[in-house]
Amino acid sequence: MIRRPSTHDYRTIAHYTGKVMIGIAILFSLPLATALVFQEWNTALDFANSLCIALLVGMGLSLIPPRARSFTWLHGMVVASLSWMLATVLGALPYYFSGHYRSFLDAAFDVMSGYTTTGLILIQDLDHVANGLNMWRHVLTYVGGQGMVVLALTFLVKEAGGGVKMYIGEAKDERLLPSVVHTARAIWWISLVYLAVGTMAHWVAGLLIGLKPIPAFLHGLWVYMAGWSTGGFAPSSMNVMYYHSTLYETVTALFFVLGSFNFALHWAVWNGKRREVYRNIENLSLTATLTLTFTLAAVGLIKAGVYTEPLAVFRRVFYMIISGHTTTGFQNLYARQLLLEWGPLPITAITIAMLIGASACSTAGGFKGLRVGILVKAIIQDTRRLLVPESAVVVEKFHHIRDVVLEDRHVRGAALVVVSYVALFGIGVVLTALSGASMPEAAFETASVTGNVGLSIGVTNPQMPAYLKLWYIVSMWIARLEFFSVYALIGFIFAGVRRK
Amino acid sequence: MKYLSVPWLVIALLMVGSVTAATHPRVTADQLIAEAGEYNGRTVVIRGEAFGDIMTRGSMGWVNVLSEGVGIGIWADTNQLAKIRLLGSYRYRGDIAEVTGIFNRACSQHGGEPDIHALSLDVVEAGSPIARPLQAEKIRLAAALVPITVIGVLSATRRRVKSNTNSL
Repeated sequence: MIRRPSTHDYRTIAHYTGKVMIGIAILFSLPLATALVFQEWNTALDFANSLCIALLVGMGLSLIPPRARSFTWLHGMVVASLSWMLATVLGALPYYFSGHYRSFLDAAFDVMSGYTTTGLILIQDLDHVANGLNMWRHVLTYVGGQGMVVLALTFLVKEAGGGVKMYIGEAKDERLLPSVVHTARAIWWISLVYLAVGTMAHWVAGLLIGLKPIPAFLHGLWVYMAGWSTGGFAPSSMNVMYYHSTLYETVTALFFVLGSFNFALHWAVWNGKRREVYRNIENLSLTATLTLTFTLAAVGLIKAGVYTEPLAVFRRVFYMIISGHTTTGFQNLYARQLLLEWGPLPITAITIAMLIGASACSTAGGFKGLRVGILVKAIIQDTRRLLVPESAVVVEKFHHIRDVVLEDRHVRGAALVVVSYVALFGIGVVLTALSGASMPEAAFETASVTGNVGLSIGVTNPQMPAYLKLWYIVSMWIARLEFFSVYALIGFIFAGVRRK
Repeated sequence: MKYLSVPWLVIALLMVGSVTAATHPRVTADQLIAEAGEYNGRTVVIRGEAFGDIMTRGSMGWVNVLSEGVGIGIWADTNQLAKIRLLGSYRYRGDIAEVTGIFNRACSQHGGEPDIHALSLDVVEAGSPIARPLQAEKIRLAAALVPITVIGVLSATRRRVKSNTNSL
């Protein structure tokens, strides 16, 4: 029986949502400091004002004392999903104040795209944007990749009682350490170490390709943040084409591939379990699908005859496929080239790669390689059951950090999420096609939105209909949280408003 | 006789120049992408704002130009690139460069990327600083929000300290 939420429930949810908003407010200090350093006074004012508003909202909500008798799964899920929505509204304030957006909806679109590490953009005149604003664009994708609830758990939530439920509500279900707060801190520790190494690598690459030291550092920091978080934002409207460099693309690819790995895998390798890299079902599954989609795309491009050099084919195809498969979204060609020059087979290959996505409990989106691997194992198991005597017990195992016996609950969990993704994808394709896009365009762009990828075939632009912008915002949000937090929020609201 | 040949020479040169200009189509970056097959390998003329960074690589280098909102890479020698004084950014509208060059839809020299190899590069319009005066409404909003926020933070901090003291 679904019970009606009580005042205690509302207070608990409000309190913890407020904590997360305080975290968002504190994050505004980074772009504010950047704007002050570069003497971008209007931008500094935008972030100062946004910081104040976010802090007042956060403090106001967190001052409501939680009185719930226990912090339930419902609370955790609702806090996770509600925090993301409210953080989007607050995060859009400096964008809107900047004048680089046609509307608040466009600003909210870019924020949700950043938090969900999608990477589609509606910003106007990106090449004349302040450094402070560019800092915010990339910080929010970095934080979104780690998870803003994870951030709050790490620094702001001392009581761990509800921590597990909020953590899982944000679609992170790996426990690196027994305590979820320690797990959250471990995730941040991994990310910060890579931040230092990755920024340095990008900085050096930038210097080598001819950037001056300060732009090389800023580009390096931002492109690293966007790559590691598999977000795909870039400081230029030309994305990674701006750099005209195989070296720079290689460095970005290295770190976005690392970012697409499961945090538990990183933790295992850091603790000496290097065999995890090739034993893990996710990596095996992703290697198989990457090889398949790359082959399909390469064959299609060779047939199309656009590129005359094998290295050119490899560089363009491999980068786009791996960018799509890791759900990063860095593009080394124009959106329209995909539609006009690449043809149906490569577009289909990238679409499939985007839908499959990368690893669970990483910064990436999509179905996830783990679920694809589990479903394939389930098909193998059920087929074997048909072929062996009825009395035989068929045991199928998979390796994910440790050996796991495949059970129905694993298959059910994987199937529910994949079915939800497919349904979300289907609705998105229809709505996109209604806006005038062709089916291949609609499928490609919707896969990019649903998989939180960010590659674009040209559908996403400031002129697209408002309903489609709104749908994409909701779609990116639902997909990033992997459905159940949002289902819980909808159920919570429904239970709250029904008469009895 | 020699005085008669000079005007004819000038006229001849002008005619050659106009024919040359007429055979090099003026394009935008968007046109090049949309009709890449048609323009591939041809000499084109493109005009756009130089922005971002000039990336020197030996005796050559890259500059990106914004042609009606779409950026495209120009590969040119450093002497040509040296003509560009201002690059577009938050603070500046960059020089408007007119580039005559060969468009490659999938440049074999540069890993298959679409680019233009410049034959000539001229700055046709100098860039300028972008005025960004402080906006009064932002200052007014800050003047209202900052004190309220400071009071709010101090009040919340005092409440927390008091509640921690009481619980001890």
